[in-house]
Amino acid sequence: MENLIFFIDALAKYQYLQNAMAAGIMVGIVCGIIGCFIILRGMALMGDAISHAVLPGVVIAYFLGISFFIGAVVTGVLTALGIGYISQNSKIKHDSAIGIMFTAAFALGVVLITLRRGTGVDLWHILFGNVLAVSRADLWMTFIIGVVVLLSIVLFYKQLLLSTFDPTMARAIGLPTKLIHYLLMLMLSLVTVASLKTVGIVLVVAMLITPGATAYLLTNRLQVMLVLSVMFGVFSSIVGVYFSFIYDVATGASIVLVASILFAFCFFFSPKQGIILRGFRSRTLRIENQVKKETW
Amino acid sequence: MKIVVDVRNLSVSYDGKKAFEDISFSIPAKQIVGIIGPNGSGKSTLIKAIMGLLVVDQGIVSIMNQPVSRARKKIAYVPQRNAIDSDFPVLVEDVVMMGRYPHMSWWGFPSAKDRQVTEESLIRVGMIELRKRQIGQLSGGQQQRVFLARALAQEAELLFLDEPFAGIDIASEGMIMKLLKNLRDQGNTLFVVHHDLSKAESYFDSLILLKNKLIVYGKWEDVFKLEYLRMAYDDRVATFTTDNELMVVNG
Repeated sequence: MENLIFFIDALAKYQYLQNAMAAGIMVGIVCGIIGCFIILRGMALMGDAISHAVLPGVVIAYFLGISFFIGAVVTGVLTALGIGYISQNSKIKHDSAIGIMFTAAFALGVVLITLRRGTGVDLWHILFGNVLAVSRADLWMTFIIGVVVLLSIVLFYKQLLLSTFDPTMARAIGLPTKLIHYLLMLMLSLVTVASLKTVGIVLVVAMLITPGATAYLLTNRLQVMLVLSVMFGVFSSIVGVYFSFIYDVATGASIVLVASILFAFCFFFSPKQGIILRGFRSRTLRIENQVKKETW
Repeated sequence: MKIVVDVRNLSVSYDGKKAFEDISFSIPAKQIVGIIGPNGSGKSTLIKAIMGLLVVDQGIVSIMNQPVSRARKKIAYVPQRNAIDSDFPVLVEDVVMMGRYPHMSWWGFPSAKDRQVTEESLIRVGMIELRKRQIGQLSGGQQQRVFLARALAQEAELLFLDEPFAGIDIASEGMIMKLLKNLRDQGNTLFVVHHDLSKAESYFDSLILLKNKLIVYGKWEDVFKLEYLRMAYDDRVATFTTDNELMVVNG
């Protein structure tokens, strides 16, 4: 309780903490939404790949003095295209293509950074975030990305839903499923940039997958899943920032741990899918069936 | 008679292997066409090629005298049940509403009419009571009926069904067949990929027998000849002739 009051007090006082909190909440929202589609399309590995592949773009953008966005989107989408090209034009399987392409892009990023050591790009901060250095400009950038992503999802909800659920019908009625795939990859790159300061490249996939997966355990409807996923993402960010501040631990990792604990809790205790309740229910069901059989 | 689907010299390969070669046929309207043949004979590939979902090696497909790309609204597809992720968070009514998507604008939301058509389609397949269920909570036959309702909601003239009777109960099979015949009588044309030869006679108006090429296309009595079946099924065909009846067993 004392900690909580201390935290709220600090939140009211310090700009950097307010910025951190605002960035965390926005990242929770955006990642939570995109993440649902990533999960349902079975693209968790792809999400991990694209987020890593953003690194060289960010570094090059820094060297050239242009916006992180542009660099990130370019290398993110190029990597997605490369993965598609390799798996379609050789017998290399899709997951291997992912493994090859994203490590290549990531390694390139690391080499570029170490090549120009001392120029101010901190590898650690890009990889793991530095939430206490979120600037006004960063907040605006995150906000704009968030609005773009949200608008796209609302406007093209039907197309996303159908091409995810039944790609064959989607193509049969003329939806550009490939274009939708690459647009999703583009959004993934944008979201990674938006999450750069908060959780960093390495852990952003957790913010994409874990809240969505937790929501997936709890509902049978995509709309509800999206809302729950956003709620879990935002909750993880707030609680994560709190623990990070109070115990002076890395913020991104702290946020991710909260999300993971939420998932574990739902995995074991959710009313529909929970391992523990399900075990209990199947026992009672067996007993009921037994009774039925006997009365017949 | 009006030709609905015209296929000329169609060849398709998959991963460098030929799925089928040089297929030609013309299908007149108001028919239920059964596509039969052994596993791997190219049945699903054929309907996907007709729907314009595959890159073809050569050949031309025209639908109502137009290229497929201009006839997409008129085509409905009922997927093979096991091709669908049954854990997907959609309800029965959400799935049927997808049939209305081709009628909506890119960014539009369902209108009152879309909702009404969805509801009517659900009533026609007898699934209205289960409209709030998640699709994975249904039996195979019920799922198949939901996907048929989606095709109904689409108000298409041309329907493609991929193995609609695989692994479903007799009651659902009877109901689906009745609906398909209804649709035909209303003037629609239906393609049904089917693996079981025993009911081919009563189900289909005409048959396409495939084995990586077109063995024969025609009415049941023209297709169910020993020589053709031997060609399609190699020697895994046993025949018993009792009076005029030809029984076929394939394994």
